[in-house]
Formats: sequence, structure tokens, C-alpha cells
Amino acid sequence: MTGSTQVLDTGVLVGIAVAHDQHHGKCLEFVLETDEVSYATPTVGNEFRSKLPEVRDRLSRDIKRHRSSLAKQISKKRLNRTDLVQIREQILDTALDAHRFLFEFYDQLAQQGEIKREDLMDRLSDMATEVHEDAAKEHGGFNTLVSAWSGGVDNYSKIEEELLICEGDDPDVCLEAHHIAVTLGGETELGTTNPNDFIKQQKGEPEERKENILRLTALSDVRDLSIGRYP
Amino acid sequence: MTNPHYGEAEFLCYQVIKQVRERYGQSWDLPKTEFYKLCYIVDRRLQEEDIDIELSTHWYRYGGVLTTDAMNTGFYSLEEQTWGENAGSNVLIADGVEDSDFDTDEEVERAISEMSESVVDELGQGYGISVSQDYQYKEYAPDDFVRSLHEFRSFIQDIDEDDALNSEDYISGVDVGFKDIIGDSSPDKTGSSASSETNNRIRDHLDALLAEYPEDKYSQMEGLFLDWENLSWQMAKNGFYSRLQDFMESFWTTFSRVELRPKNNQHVPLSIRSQWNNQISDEMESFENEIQEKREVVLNNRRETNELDIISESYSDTARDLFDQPLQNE
Repeated sequence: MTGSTQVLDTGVLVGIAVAHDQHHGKCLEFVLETDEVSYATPTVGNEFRSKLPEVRDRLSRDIKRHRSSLAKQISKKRLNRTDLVQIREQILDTALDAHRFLFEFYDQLAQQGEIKREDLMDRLSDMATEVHEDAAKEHGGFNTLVSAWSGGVDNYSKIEEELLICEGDDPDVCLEAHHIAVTLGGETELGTTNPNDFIKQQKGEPEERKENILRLTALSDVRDLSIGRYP
Repeated sequence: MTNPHYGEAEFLCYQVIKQVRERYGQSWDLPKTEFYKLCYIVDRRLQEEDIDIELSTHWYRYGGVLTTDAMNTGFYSLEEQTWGENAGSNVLIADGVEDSDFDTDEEVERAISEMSESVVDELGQGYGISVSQDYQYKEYAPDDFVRSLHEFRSFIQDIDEDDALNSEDYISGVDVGFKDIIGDSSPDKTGSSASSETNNRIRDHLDALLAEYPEDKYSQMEGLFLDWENLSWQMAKNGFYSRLQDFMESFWTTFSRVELRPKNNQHVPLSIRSQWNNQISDEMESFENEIQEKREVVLNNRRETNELDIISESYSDTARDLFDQPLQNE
């Protein structure tokens, strides 16, 4: 355990609440390693809260739409490998956002052989339901792991002028994290899944982004929580 | 009255009351809902014979009915009455109204009178006249989906009757915290395995609904229908039958207001259709809130599954991509 306060960017929140892969493990491990509070800044928290239900609805509805296509088009009670490949190639709509993982799902089913139609429908219903589940529920749930920062944010225009990070609302995230560090005192680290913007040196810039952030703000560290495939 | 006040559409309704009264006398009951349904049936039968008198009708929860808001209803009166525990209105011809108050084509008038008489004869019984919902849905449901939805609703109501004690347990269980009541035992043990035959039938009903839902016709509620269907199946397989029944009723009401009534009506004036349409967004929003509440109950109490873990990388990549994109509400 460490005694650092943590400030998290959106990618880390996604890793905790939504992802099911290595990225989830890495972000979860990060917030579990401190006995201090992990904060979502106002900018990050608002973005995450507004997108979360929409992303979940969209993916869950995609799975449900695919289930509905099966109900309309498949009447066989038992589906063999050929049927499963046919569903993957002909019924699974490539326009769905969920196409990528449903494709893999059918790949795995086809490798296992036969499945009853009702079991396939049932598993897809479970999958659509799981999309709405908090991926961190076994660790007390997202809301117990991450707190929203409600202590306001001051203006730091002088720091902002010197910050190299400039993409989207990244500078706001840095300044909000700085404000939390200043307000609370003690060690405060920023966790990000975006090393390109927050950590690495960019062409034509005099120093690493991380060095730049640490030099200008009260943050004690910027931690890279990206994985090989993401971002 | 000397100058006719009413047209052929009103004449049809007048004839229905008159035929019932002639057959059963003034003291027999003609509840409002039966009257609305009888008018709808007489009108449909006339249309089958290519006679369209432009009666305003629409579909709603209880079947095809008269759109009373669209007509001048002064020719009948409603008498408040109590039948056992149920209060309602008994329909009577208003004092002094007679055939000459209606302006009708002679041939059409004869057709309406004959059809009203024939429908009242056919559906009337020794103890009065009553049109079952089943009859209307079987004969006149606007599409297969609506017919199947009615069948599913009737089936679910029967589960409640067969399994009343269990249902009550489930309501209190969920309300005071499901896990406190059932402990660590899987809901599956008390739910789906004990009722696998029931669940097989629920599965078949839901499967038919998914297959029959006409997305083009009922496009506004397509997403909410899919959410409802999926949650309903999760409730059934986890044994939350009382929740399933409540949820059916709210879906049915919302669907009736958002899709059934606006999409299945005849000769209803624009002003009334606009009133219906104005309610749609509130209805959808309130049902969406209910879905969220019911989903929380299901998520907190369902038997755990791990479908996303099997496809964890491709699923997580997809979700992260969506977070990186600007989104719009569906």
C-alpha cells in the first residue's frame, strides 16, 4: 500500500468500471495499492458519467438486436459448427459496434461444436445484461473505489501557459489534479492510460511531457496505466 | 328534436345501445368499456362489407375501442354504477333522443341497424353482453406482435394465480433486500429449476415476440422493447416472477400509449392524435427510468454469469473505442 492520493483520467475510470481484460486488472491494481482516496476530477468525472450509460446501452442494445435477428431468422433447435459460422458470416451485422466481440464469441462457439438454440439465446441475454454490470463489483464497486472531487478548482493560468500538454481537455485534467494536490498536500499522483499526451516527449518539444507536468505542478508522479493494445 | 344533430358514426353507437336495450331491457348493464368495444366490432364488420362510416376508433390496452373524444356524445348518457367491488358507468340513450336526430343515408342506416343487431345477437348471452379481450385480440389484433403480447400477458397473469404465495414472497424479498431473505442460495434454485416448465413457456412467448416485433412500424419503442424483453427473461430465469408481472403491465401501458394507439387508429382527428403524440416522450422517459430501476434489482440479485470474460479483449477494446468517440444519444 502507498499513501498517495490518486487522480485518475477517463481511461482509468473506463478500465475500472467497464473493461474486462488486462487493462481492467492494471487500473484496479493501481487504485487498490493506495490507502488514500482516488479522485475523478470534475472534467473527467463529468465526461465519464455522461458517456457510461450511453456506451453500455449501445453495446447492450447491439447484442439484443443480434438476438432479435436470431429469433427472426433461425428456427433450428440445435446449431452445429456450420450453422454457427453461417450466423457469424451472414446474420451478425457488421454495422454493429458489438460486431467485433460477437464475431469472436461465435469463433469460440464454433470451436466448441454444437449448441442448442435456446442456450445461445440465453447466453446472449446474459452477455447483454453483463454489459450493464459494474466490472469492479467484486472489489466493492466503482463508487467505493473512486470519489468525485467536489472541492472546486482554482484558476492556474500561469501554469497552463507553460504546460506542454495541449490535447482536448488534457490540460484541464492536469490543472485539476494540481489543484487537488495543492489542496490536500502530501503525495499526489496522476494515473493515465494516455502516455502519448501525458508522459512521452513530443517532436519539437524541449522536455518530456511528464517532466514538464512534474516541474510545473504539485503532482508527485504521473503513472502510465496503458497496456500494449491500448491506446 | 327536429334538426338532426348527429351523423352516421353516432348512429352506429346509438344503434348498439338501442339493440342491447331492446334485447335486454333498460335495467341490464351495458358498461362503458363493453359499449366502446361493441361499436368497434360493428364498425369492423361493416368495413368488411365495404361500408366505412368514418367512425373514430383506436387500439388500446383492452382492444379496439371507440375514440369518444373525437365525437359528439350527447346522444348517450352515463349512469354511475357499482358492480360488486367495481365502480363504472352504465350506458343509456339520452332522454328524448330518437332515430330522427341522426342524419343518415337510408341504405347505410339499414346496414348499420342490421349489423348492430347481428353483433349483439352473436356476442350477447342470457345474462347480458360481454366482449372478452381474447375475442378482440383473436379477431382484430392489428398485427401478430400485438396478438402475441396479449397471449403472453394472459399467460403471466395465470402464473400469478398458480403461484400466488411465491409471488408474495418474492415481492417482499426484493423490497427488503433480496439477499437477506434468500441468503447465499442461488435464486436459480427457487426460481428456474423449480419452474423450468413455466420458464420454457416464457422463453417461447418471448422468442415469438422478438421474432414478430415489427421494427419499422413500432420504431420508437424498438430499443425499449429489446431492453424489456431481455430483462423479462432475466427475471424469469432467476425466478423474479412478481417483478416480471409488474414489468409486463408497465410495458403494456407504455407500448399502448407510444405505439399501439398512435399507429392503429382510424378517422381520429389530428387534434386528438397530436394530444396522444404529446404524451409520448414523457411516457418513454418514465418507462426508461423504470427499466433502470428494474435492471438494478436484477443485477444485484441474479445468478452470476461470465460471458464477457470469455471475449474480454475484444469486448474491452470495443468499449474503450466508444469512450474515445463523441457519442450521441440513441
